[in-house]
Amino acid sequence: MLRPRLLSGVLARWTGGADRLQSSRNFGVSNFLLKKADDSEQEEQKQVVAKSIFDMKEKNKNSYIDMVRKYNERNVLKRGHVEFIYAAMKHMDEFGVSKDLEVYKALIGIFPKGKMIPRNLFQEAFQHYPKHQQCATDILEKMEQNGVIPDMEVEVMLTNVFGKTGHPVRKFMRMYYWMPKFNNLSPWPLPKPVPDDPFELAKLALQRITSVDLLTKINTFDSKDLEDSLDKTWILSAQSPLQKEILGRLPSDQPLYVEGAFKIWLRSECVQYFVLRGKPKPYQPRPTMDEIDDVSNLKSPYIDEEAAEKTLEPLRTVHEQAEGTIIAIAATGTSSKDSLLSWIRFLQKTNPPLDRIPVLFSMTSPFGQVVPVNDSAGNQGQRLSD
Amino acid sequence: MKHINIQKYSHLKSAVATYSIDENAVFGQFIFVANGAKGHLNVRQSEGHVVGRLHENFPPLLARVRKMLCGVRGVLRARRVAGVLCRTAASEVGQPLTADTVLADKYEKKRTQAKPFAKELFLGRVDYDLFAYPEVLDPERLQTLNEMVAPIEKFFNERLDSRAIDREAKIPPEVLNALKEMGLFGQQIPEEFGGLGLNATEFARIAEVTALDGSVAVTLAAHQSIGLKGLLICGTEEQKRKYLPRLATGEWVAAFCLTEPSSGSDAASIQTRATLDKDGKTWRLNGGKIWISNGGIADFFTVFAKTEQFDEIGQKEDKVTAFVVERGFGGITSGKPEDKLGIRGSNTTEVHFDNTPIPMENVLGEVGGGFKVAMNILNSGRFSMGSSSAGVLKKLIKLVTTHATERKQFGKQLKEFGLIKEKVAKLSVDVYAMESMAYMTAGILDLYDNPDCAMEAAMVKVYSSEAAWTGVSECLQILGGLGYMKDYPYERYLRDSRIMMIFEGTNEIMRIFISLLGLQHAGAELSETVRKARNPLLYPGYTYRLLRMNFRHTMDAPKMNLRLKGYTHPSLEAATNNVEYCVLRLQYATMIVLQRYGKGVIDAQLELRRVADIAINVYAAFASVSRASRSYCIGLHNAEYELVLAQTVALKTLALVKQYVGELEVGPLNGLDQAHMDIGKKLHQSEVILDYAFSIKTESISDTQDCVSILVTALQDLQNGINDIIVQSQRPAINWCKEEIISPLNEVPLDDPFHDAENFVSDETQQLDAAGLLVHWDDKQEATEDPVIVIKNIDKDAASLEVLNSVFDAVSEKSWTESEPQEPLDEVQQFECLNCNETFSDAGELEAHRAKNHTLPTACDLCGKVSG
Repeated sequence: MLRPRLLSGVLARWTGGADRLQSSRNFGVSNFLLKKADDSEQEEQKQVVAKSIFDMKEKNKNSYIDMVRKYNERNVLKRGHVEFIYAAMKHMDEFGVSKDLEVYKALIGIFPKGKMIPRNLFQEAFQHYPKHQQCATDILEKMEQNGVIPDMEVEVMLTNVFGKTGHPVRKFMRMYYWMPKFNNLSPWPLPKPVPDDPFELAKLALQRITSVDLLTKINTFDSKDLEDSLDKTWILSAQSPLQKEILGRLPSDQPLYVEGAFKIWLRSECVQYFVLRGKPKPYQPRPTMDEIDDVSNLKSPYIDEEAAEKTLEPLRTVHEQAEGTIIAIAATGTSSKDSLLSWIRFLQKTNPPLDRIPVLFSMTSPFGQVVPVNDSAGNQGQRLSD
Repeated sequence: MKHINIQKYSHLKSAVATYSIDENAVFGQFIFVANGAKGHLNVRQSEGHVVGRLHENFPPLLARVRKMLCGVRGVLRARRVAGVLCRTAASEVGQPLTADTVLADKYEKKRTQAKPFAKELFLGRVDYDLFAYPEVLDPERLQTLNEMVAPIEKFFNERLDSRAIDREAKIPPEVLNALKEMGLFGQQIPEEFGGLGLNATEFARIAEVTALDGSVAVTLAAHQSIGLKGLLICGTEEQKRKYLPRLATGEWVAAFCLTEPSSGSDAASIQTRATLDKDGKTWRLNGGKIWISNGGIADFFTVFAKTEQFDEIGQKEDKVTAFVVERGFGGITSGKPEDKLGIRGSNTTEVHFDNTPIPMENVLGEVGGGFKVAMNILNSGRFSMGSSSAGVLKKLIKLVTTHATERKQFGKQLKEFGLIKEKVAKLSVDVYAMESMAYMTAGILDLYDNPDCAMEAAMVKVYSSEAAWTGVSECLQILGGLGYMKDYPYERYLRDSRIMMIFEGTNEIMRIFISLLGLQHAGAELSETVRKARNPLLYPGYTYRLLRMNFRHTMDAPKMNLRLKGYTHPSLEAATNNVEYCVLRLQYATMIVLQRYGKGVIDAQLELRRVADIAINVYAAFASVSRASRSYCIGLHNAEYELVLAQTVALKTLALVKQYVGELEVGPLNGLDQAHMDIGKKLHQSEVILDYAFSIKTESISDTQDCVSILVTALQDLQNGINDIIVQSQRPAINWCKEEIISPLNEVPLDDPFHDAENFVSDETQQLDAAGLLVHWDDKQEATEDPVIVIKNIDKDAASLEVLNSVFDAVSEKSWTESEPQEPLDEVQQFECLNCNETFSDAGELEAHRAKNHTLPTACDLCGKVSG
């Protein structure tokens, strides 16, 4: 006997490939069952649900789940439940529940059980109840976007509604396999949720960037401590002892640059940071093959004093990149030019060489257009302080 | 009786629920029918959660019914349905919908263990269930555990002055009180007796933290891992009720009294004795125990003593019995605390029992069954050592890596040097392996009902104690001089970790224990095979088949028929194959030793050690690979790093197994083994090497002194009753001995008619010979700098001593200058008679002399015949 799934594959090939089977909207055979649900039409469908259902004083998880429960109680026949689910999904952020698994379970729980399980091969092959399957898939999609990992109960619930071969169940399986893997993939785990405070965010961002040198110290300055600073704000500055050492070796006639603002994303939050960099260190000429092949005179600092003196020239460090030598990085509360000036003045206290080396404020960012710092920084500061 | 709305569960045809609700609990039974099959589900409510358990008592066509019931095959689905049903029940009775019943079912039920895991490895079989790493704690319990661990960790890291404890050799009472307040004295005691009621996994996790101070860890372990464990394992209900509450709070501290001066590893040979009073109600305990941890502070002792028993045929025999003894019984005295190398803060004393009365009801287990009790206690207490040492090593790695980052040499940070990287990598691989083993063992203890786990625990103990010792030592190496200073904690960790290879069964005993348990298990099954293999001529057909079967094994390419790789993530395929190879080779090794030695295998300790090491490392690789696979599949943080660690453990095991199986194949012919046995025998049994090796040639006077001192020591040894002597000295002295004493004695038969004994053999030689002493020159040693004379079979009677004395006197009077190459004298032709050393200036004179004096026949060079 041909197994249904196998046959569905064959059928899919007849009718235009497995890809199209995944997406009900483009799937020719089912189209007569489903009016083409483009965006405007969906909008209309959602309006079928009275807005008043979602107008309540207290908008939180409990009231949301209450609302779903009431819907279930009042609509024994589940009339218009797909529309209701879409409408409810739209209001999730409003209720602040879009990252809550229990809420998604409540929504999935609205679907009637048993009725939509395919009973024969053809139903299984041609997306049975396409609108409902699409709706459930959209719920899962929303979960995925919000980083909510489904659990095994979700699978049971979906299987009870669509049968084990339903598209939502298959999507569930993919999610259940991959999402936990991606969940912890980052070597720089962030707290969940990321903190609201821009100061804390900036600290996390700097910690992440400076993890290349574990000895890096992150200092907090307050520009109030400086006389005649205009912006009164916090400044986070990250510098390692190694960077200080490198700074000491830099020549006085070549200026340092303050560059930025660069962006770093911590989940959905963006932090801007600035870099103090010098000219790139020229690469040493590589030894020729002849030199490498010559083993007649092996010298090593472990055994020869002479060789030890030679290698006193420090090895290339992680801070000496091809684009430039990174001396320090910072993030400030306002990202304004003045706050950066304050930063450099703070740095001067712990880095005497800065007194002799000129510092230029170049407000170009290699990643985008040249934007005046005041504007972008002002916006950012506002956004962060919001 | 109530009907559930089954519309929601389409695959169920009907479901009927009966349940009762009272104030505190919901009890109910759901009977559900699906496609003609009937099953039921018992539901109860506990602590606000509804928990259900599916009873899988379906009609005979079990698999088919389940398939129909759930739409898919597998028990899991049935359980999930049960979960959903429970949820419904909970909502219908108005209880909170919080129970995750699927999990409740998974975590609460203890299964029966089908086969002991590690023992089966010796037969080349694997428990596939365990290859999915055991997951014991449900998320809720895990969180509770983490919340519990945090303050303990804080206490150990911040409030505990381990250095002071080590220096003063005493744990201050306020520290003990703090430990008691945290409940650490009653970790595994059930909650009903006031303990924390932790399972093995949770206990192991806490041990990871408490091990940060060795003294505290040992105090706690002596209290609950062995001290009161007897009560938990085989105490009567009455005993438990009487003692456990006081022990759980730490009001009483427990100690385990087994070791005696004459009995360490050999527990059956104890001398302490308990005799029954005439009234038959009280035992009287007499004897002394040594090295008892907590001996000075304990109020509760688990004591083992010999009692007189009558066996089946009515003969008297001495059997070990375990007793529960309170300090208040009287007659118990403790010695002063011992001064130790490590774990100095723990209290170790002698304990003496002088006519201590013990009431009849304080016998632990059965009278005469004490040996079993002791073994059970020790076997169950060992597994946590893995997590303890992992805890210590993890902390040290943290300290060491910080040092390696901060310290610079040759213009580079230490961490950038290859040799340092290698050390740190090996450390973390070891830690990963021991953690995996420890928690897998704990998992077996928790998952199964009454599991057979002694061997796994022993494996954890051996592996982790040795890895801890080498690991801590490597840490010290990275730290350099810093690690050696008492101002830093590192050397304390080194001292503390040394004890782990010694206590709770030395690693040597553990290795023998592991391999003998395994061989016992395998032997029961393989006995017929082994009998045939050992008698190939009686079973030629079978032998041929065996050779064919083992052909691939002899080619080092066993057939990979366990199909393990299907059970792990594909990323770990190579590592899994390595594990499979190692398991199969362990089976082959088992077969080799059984076949070679038969029953005599129990005495082939070197081979047993190899088999045990193979088994231990196979377990380590198995546990690591299965854990990494789990971590990667469920996407734990740093799972990719775990993959690398597990692959490394598997590779390391592979190399070790290859080496050991190779050595086992060669067997006792292995030259190194033989040499070790010979040297060991010489050192320990009958001979003493007096090693006076001087690498620089000395003046004659000191040569003489040298020789004299040899003799003095040799004579002392003689008087101390040592039979044989090896004298090792520098070449001139020995050469003299050789030429003057030994060569004539050994090489020239005294009854040789053609040699004049009087002329050749010195007085000393004769004396030695007369005394019946066998002296010979050890040829093997000749090539080395310092030759050796072996004097054997010395009788200890005065006569031979006197003879030796005189010989030695003669030796010591000589002076041992190496003869300088003499200036060649002006050549004056001289003719010497070979027989009597007379010289003649003319050849003719010699001829005349020989013709006159030596006309005796001489031996033919070729045939040895004597002719004129």
